[in-house]
Amino acid sequence: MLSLLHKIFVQQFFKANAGFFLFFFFLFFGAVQGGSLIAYHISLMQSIFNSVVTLLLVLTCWSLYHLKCIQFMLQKISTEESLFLHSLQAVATKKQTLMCFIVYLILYAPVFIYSLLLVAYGVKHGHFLFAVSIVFYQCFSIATAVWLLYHRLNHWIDPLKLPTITIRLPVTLTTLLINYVLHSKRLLFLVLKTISFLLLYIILIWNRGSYDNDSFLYFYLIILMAHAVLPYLFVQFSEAQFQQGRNLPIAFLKRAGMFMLPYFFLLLPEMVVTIIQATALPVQDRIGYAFNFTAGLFLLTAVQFTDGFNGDEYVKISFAFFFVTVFTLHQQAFWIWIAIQMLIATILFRTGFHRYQRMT
Amino acid sequence: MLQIADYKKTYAEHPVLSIPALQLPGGTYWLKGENGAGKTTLLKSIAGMIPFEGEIVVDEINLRKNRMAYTKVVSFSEAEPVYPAFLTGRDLLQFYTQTKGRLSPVGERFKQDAGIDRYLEKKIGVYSSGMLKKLSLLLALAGEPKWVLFDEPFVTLDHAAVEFLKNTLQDCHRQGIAVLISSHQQLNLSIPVIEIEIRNQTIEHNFDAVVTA
Repeated sequence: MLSLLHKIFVQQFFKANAGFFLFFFFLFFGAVQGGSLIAYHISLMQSIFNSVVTLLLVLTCWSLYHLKCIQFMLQKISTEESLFLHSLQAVATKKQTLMCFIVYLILYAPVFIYSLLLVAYGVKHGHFLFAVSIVFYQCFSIATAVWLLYHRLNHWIDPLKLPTITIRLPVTLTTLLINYVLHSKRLLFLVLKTISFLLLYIILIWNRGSYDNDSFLYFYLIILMAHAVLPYLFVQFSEAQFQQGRNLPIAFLKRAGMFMLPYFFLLLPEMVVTIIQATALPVQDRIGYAFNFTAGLFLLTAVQFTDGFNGDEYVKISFAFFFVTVFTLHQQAFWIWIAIQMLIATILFRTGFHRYQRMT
Repeated sequence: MLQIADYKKTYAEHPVLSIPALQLPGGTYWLKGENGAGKTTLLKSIAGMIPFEGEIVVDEINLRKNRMAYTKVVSFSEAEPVYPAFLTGRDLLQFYTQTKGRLSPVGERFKQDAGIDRYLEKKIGVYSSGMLKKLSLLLALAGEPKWVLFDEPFVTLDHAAVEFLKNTLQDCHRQGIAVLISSHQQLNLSIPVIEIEIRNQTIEHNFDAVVTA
């Protein structure tokens, strides 16, 4: 029975979030050179134990990951194909709880393992209070998650209803995908904005006056990479839930705008902060950085409509795209790169959109 | 007039449908074929929703050359419609009427008869499959379509809604709107219905009108 739950929850979770994990793996283990990797993590742990604010920030990030795991499992349980899980009610409470615990712990393992290392480091260096706080947090949060799952399996009501964002934009071509994010991907949106503003805060406020183009570029790329999930989700959504839209008389520019404008509006806060706060960079570079968000994400949208595109290739294509972006933005060739991206994206979208068919 | 020439559709290089030439003047057509014959594939191709080889032309408007004008006059209702759950029926209807044009008189009547107004303000996520189907049928009647393609339109409808839909199909006939219906059920319409069938990966047709009263 556990192997069945493993297939339904664990395999599906890690498959669906492969890009997410690749991104964080890169952030934590690929962003620094091999030799300085341990020193990097030790300094990261030190900074966590040196400030309550940093610790709270870390716990907030872990809580967001908890929410991601719990939501995934609750949604999975609610789907029609998982209705057979009803039969788990016949299993003894202890056994059910144990199974929920094991499955959940595997989902939560990336954070859990890191937190164990953190606790070990804290104990070794005498940060007992912080270490105990982390242990209590983990016990409480995991127990809560297991209780929620058990409750959902046995009572078939959703014990965890996130507050619905009541902002409801009129439904137009431009707002369709924004509404989709605000309604169906609220948690993801919250995580993206947290990452964005945390990184912008670190580079532009903490390091005010002591950063240059290259260091800003590093933080900028992480924000752009994090947002690369949007083009993938948007294409999936439009082809799975709004395929009927292909039968509507919508001009090419409007169809392209249906993707491009949401990127512009969803990233507008980051664009504004970059333009206003990145005072160490020339104004034209700041504007270039800001508009590169939209151009880059539109290119990542358009490539998905190329002939024979396979969803599994998206991560590879994204990394190739980021490699070129690093090179061009390092050369401060903002406008040339934006123009090239827009040109390629327009050609790919124009030629590919109507030849594309989603394979289910 | 719907004209299909040199049509070929393949999935992963496996041919599933091939229609060298087909001309359907206006009227009501019943597209038959066993499961997996390619009925939905053909309807989706005609609706411009999936790629194919060949040419499809409606009233001299070529799908490839003038997609905007083409999709204004060709509408499609899916067998198992899927729409964003967070939208209301009203949102979707407005979206359609903004792009295709306001609801045709035939559509207005169907909306009234089927009582769709009663739940248009609700989110699509809470619709039953029958409510969703009715909404899908209504959306296919937005604008001024010259051809309406219905894929299994009677499935999941209750008895009353089936009768309303039959009236709608008859209204379409009277208004000169051509209809292509794929259905495993008997149509039992009081208008001439021409049967065409997909067999051996191509279309076979009998243009002798069959009146099913």
